[in-house]
Amino acid sequence: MARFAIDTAFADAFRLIRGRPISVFVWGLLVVVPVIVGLGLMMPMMGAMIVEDIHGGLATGPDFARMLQFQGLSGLLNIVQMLVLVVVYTAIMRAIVRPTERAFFSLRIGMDELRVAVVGLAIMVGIYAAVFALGLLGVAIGFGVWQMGAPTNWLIIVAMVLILVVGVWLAMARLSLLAPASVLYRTFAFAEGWKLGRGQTGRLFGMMLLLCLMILAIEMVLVMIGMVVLGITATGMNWTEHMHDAAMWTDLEDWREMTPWLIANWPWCVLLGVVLSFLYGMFVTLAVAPFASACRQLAESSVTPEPAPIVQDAAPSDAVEL
Amino acid sequence: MTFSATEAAFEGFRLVRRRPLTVVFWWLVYVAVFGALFAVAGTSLPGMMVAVQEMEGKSDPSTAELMALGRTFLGVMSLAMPLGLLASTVLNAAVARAVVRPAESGWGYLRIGMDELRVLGVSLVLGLAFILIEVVCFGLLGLLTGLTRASGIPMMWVVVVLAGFAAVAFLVWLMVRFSLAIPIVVAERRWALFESFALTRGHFWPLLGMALLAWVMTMLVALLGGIAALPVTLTTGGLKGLAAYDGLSALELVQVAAPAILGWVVINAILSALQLAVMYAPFSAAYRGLKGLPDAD
Repeated sequence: MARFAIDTAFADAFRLIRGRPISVFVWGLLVVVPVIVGLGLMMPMMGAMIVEDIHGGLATGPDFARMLQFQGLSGLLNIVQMLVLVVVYTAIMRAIVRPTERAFFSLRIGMDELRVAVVGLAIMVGIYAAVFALGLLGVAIGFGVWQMGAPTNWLIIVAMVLILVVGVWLAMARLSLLAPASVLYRTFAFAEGWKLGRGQTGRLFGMMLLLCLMILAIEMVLVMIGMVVLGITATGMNWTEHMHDAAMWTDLEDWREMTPWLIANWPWCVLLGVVLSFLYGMFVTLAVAPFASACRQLAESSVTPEPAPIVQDAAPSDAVEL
Repeated sequence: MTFSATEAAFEGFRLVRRRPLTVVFWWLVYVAVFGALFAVAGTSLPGMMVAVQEMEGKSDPSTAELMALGRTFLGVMSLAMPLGLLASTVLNAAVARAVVRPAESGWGYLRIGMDELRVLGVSLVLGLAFILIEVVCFGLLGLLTGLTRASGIPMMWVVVVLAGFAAVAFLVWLMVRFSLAIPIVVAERRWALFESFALTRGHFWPLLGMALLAWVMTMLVALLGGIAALPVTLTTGGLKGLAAYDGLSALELVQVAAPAILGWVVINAILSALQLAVMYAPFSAAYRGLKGLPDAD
């Protein structure tokens, strides 16, 4: 049976980060920019709404229209972020399964992206539907076992919730090769991805858990470094005053002051943006690349070797031997 | 004969690429339908928007409020349904014709003839049959729920939920088995109610997968269309903005909110025409594959 090595999958991800840091940065930048632009656009609107709410509540008319605009903008940004993620995820998968296509940071907008979007959406809808159905069944079972009394009923309910959570994770692991397989085979590789993942659910699940732990550990280290940096740079700062300021954001001017503050401190903002972009790029690469690598390894090992050419070592019986 | 579900699922996009002008004709039909709908039901729209907005703000709406919203919807739907049925007949026949008889491309494959009459007849019969089956299934489910409540056996609720799943699965199975009825009617130019059932035997899962893929792709079209349309929606306020004009007649509404109405009609007509192709063309492609007919390309 075809197999993949988890350490090779991780090595591929780290090799990609080490070998193509600019691409990783660009991928991160693409993820971060819509978030920052979104915050920049929405903060003043949100501030105005919060201030209005504090000073008498939202009424109908122009204020209500602003709320609608805010909702619309928020929805638009969510969709844009999803689409950007599709493009970035596909680029990372492409960088692993078709490493020679390096131009423009492996980024494209084409059929690969459409396939990944459709596969991703299908998986999301499928998992939501399954969770809904299982949740419904769980409620019915929970209702049925309630009469057993504590602690038996609680034990059964907790066990069911755990089974549901683990089941969702296992399902995600089982389906995790569909998107990379679609990039690898350049088709909607539902069948191919499913076949590649056959017998690999445990390993894929393990890899998923390891990835989560790894990303969590890196995040903890980064948070600690951030706290140390903050501690050094902010020594002597009057925190109580700043906390007081934060609570005072009930005036529209407080929100408007953010823009001049950002403009005045733009070098720091840019530096923070660069660091954040690289970190996000690294996390996204770590989250996506191992699955693409597993997919490539499985596809390579499942290719049956071509039969050796038949060598004619004897003359046909009806031939004349010289 | 067999067919590739993933290949067939893309037929809508292929159709748009092959005959882009076709979508313009379908768009015009949708513009006409939406325009006609607005003319007959436009007065009720602001009231409906007010009711929807009021409902959105409440976590626990009362039965009276739900009934009021239901009545408003029913009023709009009673006017919209006959028009919608006629339009969908012509459009569904056009989609099927575009895939199974690609040479007849005049007028964006739109016709009013015997094909359309047969499609209308088959759609009505199947639609009514499904309503009847749904009533029976969910009626039995209701009966089982009542018995469970009366019995006082909590574990019976598991049976109720499982029966609910079985009912939904049965309806989905039936829908898939009858999903090729319209392509058959158009392709073979005859009344064909049960032929779909025979043709789809042994192909349930690929057909279901194809339908789900097509549905996901219509969702993508809606998402992308929503993004493209958002500047217009944000500028004009969209249909939700009509809530401010409750009580005005259709003509007065056009006078005060023409950009919002026009924007909504034009954008939704484009999206509906694209979604029509993406959602329904795959079924005709599946028919073509199962019958071993050559590709439209």
